[in-house]
Parts: sequence; structure tokens; C-alpha cells
Amino acid sequence: MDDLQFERADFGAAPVAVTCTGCHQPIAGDYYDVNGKPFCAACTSAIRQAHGDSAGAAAFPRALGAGLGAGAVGSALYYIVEKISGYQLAIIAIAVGFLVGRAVRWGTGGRGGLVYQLLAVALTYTAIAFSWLPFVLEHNQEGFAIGDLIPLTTFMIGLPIRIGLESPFTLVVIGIGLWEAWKFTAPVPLAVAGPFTTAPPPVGLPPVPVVPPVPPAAP
Amino acid sequence: MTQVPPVPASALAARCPQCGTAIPPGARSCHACHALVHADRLKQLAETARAAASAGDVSAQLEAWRIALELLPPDSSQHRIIGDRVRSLSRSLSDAAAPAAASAADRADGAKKTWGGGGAIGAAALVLWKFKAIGLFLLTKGKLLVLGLSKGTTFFSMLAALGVYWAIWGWKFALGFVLSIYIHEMGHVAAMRRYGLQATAPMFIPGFGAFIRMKQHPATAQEEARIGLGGPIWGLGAAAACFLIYTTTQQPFWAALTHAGAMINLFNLMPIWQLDGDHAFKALNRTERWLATGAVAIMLLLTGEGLLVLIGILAVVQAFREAPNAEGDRTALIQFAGLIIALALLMKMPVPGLP
Repeated sequence: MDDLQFERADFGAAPVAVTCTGCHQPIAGDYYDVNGKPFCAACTSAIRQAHGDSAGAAAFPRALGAGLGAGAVGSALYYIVEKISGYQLAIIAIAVGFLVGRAVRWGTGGRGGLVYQLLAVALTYTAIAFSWLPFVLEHNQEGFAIGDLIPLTTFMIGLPIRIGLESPFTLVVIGIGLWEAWKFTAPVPLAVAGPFTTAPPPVGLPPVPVVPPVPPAAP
Repeated sequence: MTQVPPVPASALAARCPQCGTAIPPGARSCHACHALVHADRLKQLAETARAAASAGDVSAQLEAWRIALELLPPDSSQHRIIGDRVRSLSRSLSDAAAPAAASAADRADGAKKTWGGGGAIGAAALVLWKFKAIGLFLLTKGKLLVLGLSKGTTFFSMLAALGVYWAIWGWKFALGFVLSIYIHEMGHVAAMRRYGLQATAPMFIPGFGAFIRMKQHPATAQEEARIGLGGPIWGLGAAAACFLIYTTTQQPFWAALTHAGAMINLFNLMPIWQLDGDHAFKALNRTERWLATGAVAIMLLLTGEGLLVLIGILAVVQAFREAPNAEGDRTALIQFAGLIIALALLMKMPVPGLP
């Protein structure tokens, strides 16, 4: 450890040219910094173009289907956990948000975006609301008719708010679940800086120190 | 030639002090001459680590080397060498528990031998030595508990949580409950400090508990397990203290607090998501995972506690999955099983007023 030097990074060989993260070709002249990684001009341009593209027409139904499926699994999970452990764990709302968020993101091919964030939040809320459905049905001894479908749906949609007003814990946990769904479907930011050059600047241009020089110690 | 519009002029301001090449923001070395951007800071950190090594302070060494890792390019040989050093130091700390216990036993044994002829005097000396050790432990940990409250995020979020629980359960129980959670979190903090790991201060979320976000990754699976189980171990201490007070005073309040403390710590032992049990299971090999599952099953049969059903199901799922740490971690297994046994028994304790 004592012989480690901290002047130059040692990459195991003589200094080589910057390599493009996209095409893996050495960059002789200018390059760009895309989300912290070096890319050549052609690859940077391709990344910008792909980032601007929409997820495609098939993405929405795919995201909706996947989100609905994940929401149904999350709702079932709440009921199963209650049945086997005897605990109504509101924390499962976070798992629902996680599942739905991941599923919707998968549906968009990893792109995300505001529309998909709203979709994921709506599906998560609905899944959390309907996770109480089995308990509502169990407690209603008279049973339900087809005509009760709309009032029952309205009741279920409003249930998390009603429970949340009585129990702030539940409201907070539901909020975290919705945040998980929102976070997972957020668009990936693209930070491009540059162009930078791999060659040193012409003689005469004063170098700008990155770290301020340490003043010499008094004799 | 593809045209890309030029961006941020400010990004071009930083230049390599060695060759003058423009350095992108966040880069750790110059792409042209490989000069390290944080060379001076790295030299300082290396000096700090060497001084800590001379003083035998492994935690301070780890802390300095971990910060250095964040300032080095990940594919540089310096990063690899320091990474190896961090893993080696971390292992030495993880393995230190057993020898430390053995050495304490030896010292106690030595005390017995030295004072054996004195009979009662020898026994008294041994008791005094043990009290001294306990006193020192409480002093150092107590200092950490008080220091933790000096962080604004911890203190104010704790007050907010206290307010919410107060409205539901009254101030007395709310205060006890929040302190139980706080002690659990400070168990993680103590373990992280031991491993020189940077993390945020504990942050309370009313109704959810509290959390700490690690700013660095644990170097080994064993380290992750010690940090993960540090919370429930301290939490068990808090619940056990409440139980002792209950056995002395017979006040139902302390029984309820024991039950609540045991429940939050047992819940955290679920081997899933970011919960403490998941961190412990990452260090266990397949055999150890089945042994941990066995401990859960036995306690389920003995106590019938519903949370153990969930922990057991998740443990079985984990046991079937491929264990990334083939060498395993016997200490993590013993700690996990011990926590399951102790917490399940505390939860089984009858609370007046509860079915």
C-alpha cells in the first residue's frame, strides 16, 4: 500500500486514447460526456435521437396490461398475507407500487414518461383500493347483485381515503407506494456535456487547476 | 460527419493541471494524460489511513480508504488495490467478534485464576470486572445514542413521528415506541461506524418506522449482514430492557412496549426487499439458509406467531434461490437464529388488555 502513487491513474498500460462507450472505438479528436461516460460524436447523436423517440404505439397497451397484472398480484398479496399471518400489513402498498411501477416501465421498453407515471400511479391506487375487496365481500352476508357493481366500485375507490383519514399510518404508507410507482416510471434524464478534446490545448493557454493549490507550509 | 450541437460552456472550464486538457464534470482522471483530478485529497486520505493503521484503528482506516475509492477511476489499478484492502480490513472486523469473545472469556478466566485463592474476593473482582465492561459498553453506546439526536433530520422527524403516535396512543407509549425505533436505527449506525461506512442520519417516517440511507456499498456480504442485524440486536436490547422493567414493576405499559418493540424488530427480520433479514440472508450459504428456516419453523411451532409464517415462507424462497456467498457466515446465522428465538419469545409474553 505504501508504494501507491496518486498522481496518475494507472490503467495497467501506457496511456491510450479515450474509447467511445458506445462503439468501443478509440476517439482521436472530440468526444462528449453522456451521463458521465465518454462517447464519440456519432454515438452521442444516435443516443440523443433515440432518447427523443416515443416508446411506440404498442407501448401503452403493453404497459397497461402489465400494470394491471402486477396490480392484481399486489392486491392478492395483501389478502394472502392477512390470511396466513393475521396481520393487515399496510406496507404491502409499497410492494404494490414497486410491482406496478416495474411492470409499466417494462411495458414502455424502459423509457418511462409523464403519461406512464400517471398510469402507474392510477393503477397502484386502484390495486391498493381493491386489495380490501375480499374483506368487504366477506363482511357482507347478504351478497352482491350485478346492480351493486357501480356503487361497490365507487365505494372501493374511496376506501383508501376513508381509511387514511382514520389512520394516518395507512395514508403515509399508501403515499410511499404511489411514490414508488411514480419514481419507477420517471423518464431517464440525458445529460450531455462537451465537446471535449483528447488532445492537450495549444501552448500558451493557461491550465485551470481543478483543485486549488495548497499554500506552502511556513518555514 | 454527424453534427452535435455544443453544450455547457461552464463544463469546459475545468482543465487538467498537468496537460491542460478539458475535463468533463465528474471525471476522476484526465482522459488524455490520466492525471488524477483529486490527487491532493487522495494523498491526504492515504496519510490518514496510514496513521490509523499505525494506531491500530481499523474503522478509521476503512473510512479513509472508502472515501478514496470514490475519488478514483473504477478501472484503475489504485481502485483495485484499495478495494482489496477495504475487503480485507472489513473481513478482519467481521471475524473479530469470535476472537474478542474468546479473549474476554480468557480474561475472565485469568481473573478467576488470579483471585481463585481469595474465594469471595476473587468472585467480587470478577463481578466488578464484568460491571466495568458493561459500564464501558453502556457509556460508549449511550454517547452514540445522545449524539444521534444532534442531527436535525433525526431529531425533527422523530418529533413529527412522536406527534403522530401521541395522537393515537398517548404521549407515554408514543415516546417509548419512538425510542424503540430510534435504538434500532442506532444499532445500524453503530455497525456502520465500526466499518467506516458513510450513511445519512436516521430519518423517521410516521407510520412506517425510520430508515438510514447508505452512501457507500458494503465491501463484503458479512459486513452487510453485521450492519443489517445491528439494528435488530440493539432493538432486542431495548425490548429486553422493557421486559426487565415489566417483570420488576408489573405495569402493563412496559409489557405493551416490550411487545411492540419485539414486533417491529421481528418484522424487520423478513428476508425480503430492504429489510434487515434480507441483508443477513445475503451472507448465508444454502445450508445456513435452511438452518435459519429451521429456527423460524421451530419458533413458529412453539409460539404460533403469525409473523413467523411470513418470515418462514420468505426464508424457504431464499433457501431455494442461489446463494451468492458460498463460503457462508456462521456468525450471521447465529445472530439471525438468536434474534428469531428471543424476539418470538418476547412477543409471546402476555400483555394485559391484549387478546
